[in-house]
Amino acid sequence: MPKTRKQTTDHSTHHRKRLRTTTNIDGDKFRGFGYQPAASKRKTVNVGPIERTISILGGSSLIAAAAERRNWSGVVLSCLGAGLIRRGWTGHCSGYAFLGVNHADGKSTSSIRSKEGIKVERSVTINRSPQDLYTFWRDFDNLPRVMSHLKEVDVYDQLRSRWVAVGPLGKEVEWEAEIINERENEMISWQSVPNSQIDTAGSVRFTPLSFDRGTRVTISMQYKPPGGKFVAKLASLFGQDLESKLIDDIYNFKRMMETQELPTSAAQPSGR
Amino acid sequence: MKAVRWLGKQDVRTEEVPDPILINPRDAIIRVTSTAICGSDLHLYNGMIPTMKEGDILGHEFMGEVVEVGSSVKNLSVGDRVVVPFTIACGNCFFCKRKLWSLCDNSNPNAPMLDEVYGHSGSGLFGYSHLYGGYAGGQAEYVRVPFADVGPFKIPDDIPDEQVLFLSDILPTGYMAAENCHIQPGDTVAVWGCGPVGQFAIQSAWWLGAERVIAIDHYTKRLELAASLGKAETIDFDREDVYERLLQMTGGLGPDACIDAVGLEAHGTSVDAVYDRVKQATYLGTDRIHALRQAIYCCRKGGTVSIPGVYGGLLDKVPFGSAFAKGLHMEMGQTHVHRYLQPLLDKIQGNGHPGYDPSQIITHRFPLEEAAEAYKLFNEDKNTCIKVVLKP
Repeated sequence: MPKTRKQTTDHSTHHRKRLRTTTNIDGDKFRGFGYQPAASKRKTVNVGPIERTISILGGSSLIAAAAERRNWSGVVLSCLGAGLIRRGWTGHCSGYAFLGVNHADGKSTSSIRSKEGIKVERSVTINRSPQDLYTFWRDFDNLPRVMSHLKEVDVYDQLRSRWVAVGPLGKEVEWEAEIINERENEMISWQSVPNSQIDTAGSVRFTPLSFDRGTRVTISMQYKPPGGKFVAKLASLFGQDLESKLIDDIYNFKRMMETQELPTSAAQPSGR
Repeated sequence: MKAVRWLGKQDVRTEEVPDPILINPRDAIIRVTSTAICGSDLHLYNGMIPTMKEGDILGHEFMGEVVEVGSSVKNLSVGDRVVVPFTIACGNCFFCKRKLWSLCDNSNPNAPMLDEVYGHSGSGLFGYSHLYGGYAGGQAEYVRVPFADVGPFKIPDDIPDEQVLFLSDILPTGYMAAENCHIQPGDTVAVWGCGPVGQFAIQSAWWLGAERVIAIDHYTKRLELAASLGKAETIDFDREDVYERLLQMTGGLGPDACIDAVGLEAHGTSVDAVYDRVKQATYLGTDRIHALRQAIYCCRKGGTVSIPGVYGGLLDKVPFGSAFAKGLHMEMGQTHVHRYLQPLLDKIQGNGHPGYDPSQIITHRFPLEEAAEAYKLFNEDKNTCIKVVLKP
């Protein structure tokens, strides 16, 4: 069983809801991505003090403006205003909570702070069972076959593995990752160990669809770019950003799982 | 091997290129015995379709003999005679499982590119630009066929090439266009464009129970073929007002179904057609849609407009208000060729009835080496040149 790490990530309420169930079923064994200390189940203060003041002021002026209008738009405005005042007064923003963002304290609950990290989430429907997809994915050795930016993965043991990837601008990066949560045929999440060359975390979820529609696979990856956001921005100009790579990789994963090969015209695009 | 290569706008040449090789386990290599130039190849020829690269091998209507198969292809053997559908389909995805073959999720390696343009990508196509996968086409001596365990359709030895070659695209395309009309007893079907797809749509409309078929074009030879081979009534849009004539013929109702077998390079001399032409020439718009506008305008209320003609980009001045006001059904898309191979082979073989011979539309035959001349002729003389077959 994985050793619980102090650092936990917190992407979204959706994650939290799903994974809270996980924690309940498996006791306290898995405390990865979705782990939340009990206290945080209460509505927390997640709006910073300056923003709270602005919320109250903005809300008040909306209500003032609403008072001059005697039609439906006035009703809408006063509702908006009331919402803003409430947000400022209580310091809780459900929008932030949904996004897993907390602007109240300087630090984020995520292992990668939202301001530094780049997060990409994509979902795809694959015409295979969650079991098949999970089995392929869980054997990390398989991943470089479909993920063009991954050079190799060495699996050390059930939880730890070493990853080598081609990073922004062709620079090779490697890191050690640890599985921090997994449920057979349902989800896997991982995170780089502390002091890795790259700070990264990710998860993949497999949701079975009814009526013979296959499985919805949701892949979420987050990383702190080596060289900072500037290098990542630069790389994106050359189509080497995480998002476009992830899209290619997801396409390839789907193609491999559905057709057992990667369609290509590369060897003879023009008969040249 | 020799292959027909696209080198730029109105510049194709037959040149020596390396032979194709097996890349994936589900590939096969076909030695092409017959191939045809499609009207949609002229869209490429005239530079209307983006992402063509200099040297790309053209051709998506072809048939031949299997000469090599990948390790996963169990249903084909070396020596089999096959027709290859122009839409490449994996047979495994959501769409293939629902027989929507031309919408295959996996066969276009450049799908992310097409996602950007269209929202979602259709299947890969042979010899039809890099947006559709950059696959080398079949106007060549040999061609690599991906997912060969799904596409290639075996043909009995006793049927000549020319009778089955068009199963690769235009015969199923004409058939699907008519099928999409959901023809009811008593229906009148009007077909814009009497090229090969139009001719086959006319024939298919009869097969599917139409009471009247009306063909519209301005090339006399094509109209003559529609009348003689297709037994259709005809309207020459250079001589008659199509709307007035159709309404007169149908007692004011309009045709129950209208087929636009013209697509993005419509001809015409009306104000809107000239407007489209100017816009296209100045790169302000991609598609000339005169035929589509007319089909929508003429169609009976609650009728169907079926569109086998190819459209590629943004359409300007589509009379959508008319389509809405009249409660029209619109049906369109690349042909799900795989669906129609067996039923249409049955029509050709006859099976007790007189068989249908699609080769009657062929007007010209050239050796592969003379492809440049064939393209030029097909592009410039649409009156006498209706269908060109190339022999490698």
